[in-house]
Amino acid sequence: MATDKQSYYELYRQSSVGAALTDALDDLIMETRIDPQLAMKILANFDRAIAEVLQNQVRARLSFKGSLDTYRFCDEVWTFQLKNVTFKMDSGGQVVSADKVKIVSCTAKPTGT
Amino acid sequence: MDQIPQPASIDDIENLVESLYQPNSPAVISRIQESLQGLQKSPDGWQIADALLARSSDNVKFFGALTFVVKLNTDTIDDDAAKLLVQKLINWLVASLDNGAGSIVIRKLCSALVTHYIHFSHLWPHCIRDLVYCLDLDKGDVLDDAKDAAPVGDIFPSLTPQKAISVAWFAAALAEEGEKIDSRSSKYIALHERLVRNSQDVATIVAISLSGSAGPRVQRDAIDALHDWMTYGERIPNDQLTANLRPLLRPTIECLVVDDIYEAAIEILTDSLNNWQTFFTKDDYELLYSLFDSDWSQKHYQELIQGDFDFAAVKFGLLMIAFGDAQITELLNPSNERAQRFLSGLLGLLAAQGHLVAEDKIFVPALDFWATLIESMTDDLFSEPDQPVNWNIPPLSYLMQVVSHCWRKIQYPHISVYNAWDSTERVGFSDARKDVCDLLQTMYTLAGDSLISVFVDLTTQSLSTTAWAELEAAAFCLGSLSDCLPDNDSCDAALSKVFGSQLFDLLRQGQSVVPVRTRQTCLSLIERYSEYFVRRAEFLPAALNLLFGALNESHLAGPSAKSIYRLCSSCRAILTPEVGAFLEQYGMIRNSVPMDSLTEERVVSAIASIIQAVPEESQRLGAFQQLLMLIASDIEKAIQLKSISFMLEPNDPTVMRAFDLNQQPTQPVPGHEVALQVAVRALRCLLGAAKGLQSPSDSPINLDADESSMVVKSSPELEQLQANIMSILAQTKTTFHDSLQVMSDINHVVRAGFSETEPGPFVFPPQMVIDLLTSPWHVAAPTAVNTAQVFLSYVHNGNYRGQMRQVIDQLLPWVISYIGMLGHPSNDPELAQFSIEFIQKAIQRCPDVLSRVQPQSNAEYIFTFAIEMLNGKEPLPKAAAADFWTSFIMLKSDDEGTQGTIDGAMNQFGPILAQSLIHNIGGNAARSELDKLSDPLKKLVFQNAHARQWLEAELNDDSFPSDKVSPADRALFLKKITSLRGSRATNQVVKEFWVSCRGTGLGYTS
Repeated sequence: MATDKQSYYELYRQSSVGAALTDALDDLIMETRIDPQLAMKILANFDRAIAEVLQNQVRARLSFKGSLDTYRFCDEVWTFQLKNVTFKMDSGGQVVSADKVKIVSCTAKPTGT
Repeated sequence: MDQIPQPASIDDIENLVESLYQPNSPAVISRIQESLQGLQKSPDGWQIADALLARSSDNVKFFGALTFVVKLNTDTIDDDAAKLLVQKLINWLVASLDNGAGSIVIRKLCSALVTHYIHFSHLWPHCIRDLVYCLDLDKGDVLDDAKDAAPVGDIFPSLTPQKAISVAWFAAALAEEGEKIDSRSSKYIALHERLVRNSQDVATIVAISLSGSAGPRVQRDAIDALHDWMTYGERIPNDQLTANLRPLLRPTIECLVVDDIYEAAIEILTDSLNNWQTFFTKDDYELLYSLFDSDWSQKHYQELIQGDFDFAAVKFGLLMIAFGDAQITELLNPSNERAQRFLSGLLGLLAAQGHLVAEDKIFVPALDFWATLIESMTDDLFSEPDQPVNWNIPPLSYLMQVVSHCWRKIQYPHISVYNAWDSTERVGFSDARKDVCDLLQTMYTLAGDSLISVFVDLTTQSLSTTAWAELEAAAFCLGSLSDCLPDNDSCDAALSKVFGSQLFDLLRQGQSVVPVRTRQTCLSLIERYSEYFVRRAEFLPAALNLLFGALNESHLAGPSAKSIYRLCSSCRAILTPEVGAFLEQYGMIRNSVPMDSLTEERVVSAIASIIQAVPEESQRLGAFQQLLMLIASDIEKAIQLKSISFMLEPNDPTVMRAFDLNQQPTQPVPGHEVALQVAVRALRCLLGAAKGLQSPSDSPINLDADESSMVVKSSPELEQLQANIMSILAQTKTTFHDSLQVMSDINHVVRAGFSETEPGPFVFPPQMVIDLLTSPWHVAAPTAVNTAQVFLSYVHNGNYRGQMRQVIDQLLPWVISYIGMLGHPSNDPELAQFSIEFIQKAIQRCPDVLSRVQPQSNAEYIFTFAIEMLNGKEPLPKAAAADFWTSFIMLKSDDEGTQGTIDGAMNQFGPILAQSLIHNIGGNAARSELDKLSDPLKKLVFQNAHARQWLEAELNDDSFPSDKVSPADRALFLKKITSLRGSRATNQVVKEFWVSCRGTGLGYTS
C-alpha cells in the first residue's frame, strides 16, 4: 500500500506477474547477479509501471450488475461487497456469474496532491 | 575481432572508446563494453578517468566523467580523497566549459558531481553555493573558501551563460537523483535535509535566470531545474522547500507568453497542476484565470479548436484541462461566472475540428476531464438531494452539449479516410468511442431516461435523413446505455420509436443502401435491448427475420448470430411455438449460407435455448432430436471423410462448409483434414446446443428440496437421446483420437451438463460419463482427469449424490493408473496436478476410499507422489499438493477402521511431509509459494500431536537446506509456529524464516 506520497501502491506485487517478478529477482540475488538494492528499485519501478499501464494502456472493459450488500470507506480504501453479480465482458463472450464479489478500491493518486 | 586486446596505454583506451561509437556488430560492441567496464572497475579507474578527461574528444571525455560516476558508486574512499576529488571534478568542469566541450560532457560532469554529493554531502553541504563560487573564480581548489563568499544572488548574475546553464543542469540532476533516494531510510535523512537547505540557493539562481537577463536558453534550463525540484518537493514533502520554491511560480507563469520558453513553462505548469495542486496559491490561480482571459490565450485556443494540433497547441489544451481539474470545485459553482466561462472553453475542446485521434489530439484528454467533472457533479447532487437542480444554467446546461459534441466526434469518417489511417489510429478511434460510452453511462446517473430520449431522437432523425454515420453513432450511444436501464418498461415507449420505425426495413435493403458498419451497429443494438423485445414481442418477428437474413453477409454474420442468440435466449418463452420454424430455417441455411463455425454455434445455441423453454417434454425432446440429427449428420460425414485417401477440391461444398470463411483453402485438401474441420464444427455446434439447453440462471430453485426428493426423473425418450449424444461423442473420440482439439471439445460437451439440476439431454447419468472418461485417451488425458474432478463436484452437489461412492470406486483406479504411468510429476505437471486434485476431492467426499484402494501399495504411491509434487519446482502442482496435504491432515471419519487407516497413513507420512515442508520453507521454495505451503504446516501444527517432534527433527537434520540460520534460530522458529497453533500469523513467521534461510538480503520486500 502507499505509505506516503513518494510510493506507488505495492498491492500489485501480489498479482501473478508481481509474484513471478519477485521470484525471478530472488533467484538473481541468490546467483549474485544483482544486489537487493537493485531488486528494490526494480520493484519500485514495477509498482509505478503497472499502475500506469493499467491506467493508460489496458482498454479491456467489463460491466457488472449485482446487489450491493455492504460498503465502507476507511483509510482512503473503498470496500464493496456485492451479491448475485453478473459480469459482461467487452468481447461479448459468455456472461459470468458469481454469488459474492468483494471489490477493494484505492484512490488512483496518493492523497494530498 | 574475436578478442579485444587489453589496452596497454591511455591511447589504447581512447581508441577503444572511439571504436564504441563506430559501426560494429552487436557482439563486438558488447565485447568492447565489457573491456571498458573492466577498466572502469579496476583500481586504475580513477587515473584512467582523469586522463581521459584531458583528451580532446567529447566521447572520450564523456567516458572519463562516466568512469568517475562508476568509481564513486563502487569504490570506497576516505573524506580527504573525496574532498580532493570534488575539487578535481569542478576543475574539469571549468576546463571543459573553457575549451567548449559538448553538452554531453558538461552534463556527465554535473552528474559525477551529483553522485559525489549523494555520497559525501557532508563535505560540501551547500553545493549550489560552492559550485557557483568556484565557477565564478574558474577553479575548484577554492571550495573551502565558498562559505565566506558573497551570497549566491550576488555572484550568480556575473556567471557566463554557459556557466549559469551548467549550474542549472547540476541543480536539476541533484533533485532528480535526490528524489530516487529513500527518504524514510535513516541513512539518508541528513542528505535530504541538506538538499532542502540547498533549495534556497536553487530558488535564487532560478529566480535570477527567469528574469531573462542571460537569455532564453538560461531561462529554459532554469525552468527545467525548477521542474525537477518541484517533482522532488511533491514526492518528498517539506514545508521549507515548498516555501522556497513557491515564489517562483508567478515568474514561471509569466514565462508562458515568451515563445522561446513556452514549451518548458507549459510543461512544468501542467505537470504541477496535475500532481501538486496545493502548491498553487489563490493568487497563482487568479493569475492563471487572468492568463486564460487574455488575448494570448484566446489566440492559442482558437488555433487549437480550428484544428491546429501541433505540439504547442495541444500543450495549451492540456494546460487548460489540468487547470480545470485543479479548479473542479469552482467549476461546479454556477454563480462563479469566470469559472463557468472557462468551463465553456473546456466544452469547446470537445468540438475541435479534425478526426478523432488521427488528427484531434485533445478530445480524449478533454473527455477524461468531463467524465471527472460529471462524477463530481453526481457526488454533489446526491450528497445534497434537496438542492434544486437547474438544467438550464451552467454547468448542468453544458452537459447536453457535451453529449452532442461526443456524438458528432465519434462518427466514422468516410471509408476512404478511415482506410488511410494506420492501425494505431484505428484502435485509438475505437478506444475513444468506448471512452464516450463510459462518459454516457456516468451521465445517465444524472440525466436518467432523458438521455435515452436524446439518442432515440438522434437515431430517428438520422434515419429520416439517411445520414448513416450519424445513425451509426446514435445507435452506438443508445446501445451503450442499455446496461444502465432499470429492469422495467420506463423507456419502452422511447425505444419503440426506434424499433417501430423504418429502421429494420432500411437495414434489410443491404450494403448498397446502408453501409456495413451502420448495419453492424444497428444489429448489435437489437442484441443490447433484447429484454425490450421480451416485453414488446410484436417487434420480435421483424427483428429475427432481419437478423437471420443478415447471416448471408460475411461482415454481418458474426454480430447477427450474437444478436440472434441473445434475442432467442431472452425471448425463449415467447418463441417456443415457433421452434419448428427455427429448426427448418437452420436446416436450410446450414447448407446454403456459408457460416463461420462460431456463427453456426451461436445459431444452434439460440435454437437450443428456445427448445429448452418448450414446456411439454415429448415436444421438447422431439425438437431437440431434430437438432441433434442435423449435427449428427455432420459427425457421420466427418467419420466417412476420415477414411478417404484422396484430395478434395477447394470448391467442394463439403470443404467450403468445413472451413471458416477466412481460412478457405485455395488448393486441394486431404480428406482427413476436411474430416477434422467438419468434426470440430459439429462438436462446437453440439456444445452450443448443450449451452443453449442449460436452464437460465434466473429459473426458480426449490430451497425446500431434501436429499430424499432428489430423484432423477427420466424417460425412455430422454435416455435414448442421451445415449445418442454419448454415442456421437464416443465415435468422434475413437475416430479422431489423435486430435487435441476434438478431445478438448468432447470434454467441454460433457461438462456442459454439470451445471444443471434438472434432467436434460446433456445431463448424463454418472455411468455414461464414467464409461466415456475411462475409455482410452491417446491425447488430452489431463483434460479428461480435470473433467473427472469437476464431475466429482457435480455428483456431490447434484441429484446423484447417492452414487458418489460408486463413482469414486470406478474413477479412482483410473486416475491412479495415470499417475502410475507418469512415474514422476515433472513428466506431465498438468496431469499430475489434476490427478492429485481429483484424489483430494475423492478422499474428502469418501474418506474410506483409501482403505479400499487395491492393491494397498497404490495408496502409498499416492502419498509418495504427493510428496514428490511438493518437493518439485512446478508451482501449480506444488500448490495442488499443498492443498491435498492440507485436506488430508484435516480428514476425519466416523468409521473407526477408516480413521485408523488415516491415522496410520499420517503416522507413516507425517515425518516425510514435515521434511518436505521444512526443506521448502528452509529456502527451497520460491517466495510466492510460501503462503500455499503454510497451509499444511498450520494444519499439521494444529491437528497432530507429533508435529512438533517431526518438525524439530527435520530442522536439526543435516539435510536442512540452509546454513544461514543457527540452531537457536531454528528452535525459535519452531517455538513460534507451535505457539501460534496454526493461526494466520504463521504465514509471516514462515516468510521471515525463509528470508533468513535464503540470506543474501532477500528481505528487500515483504
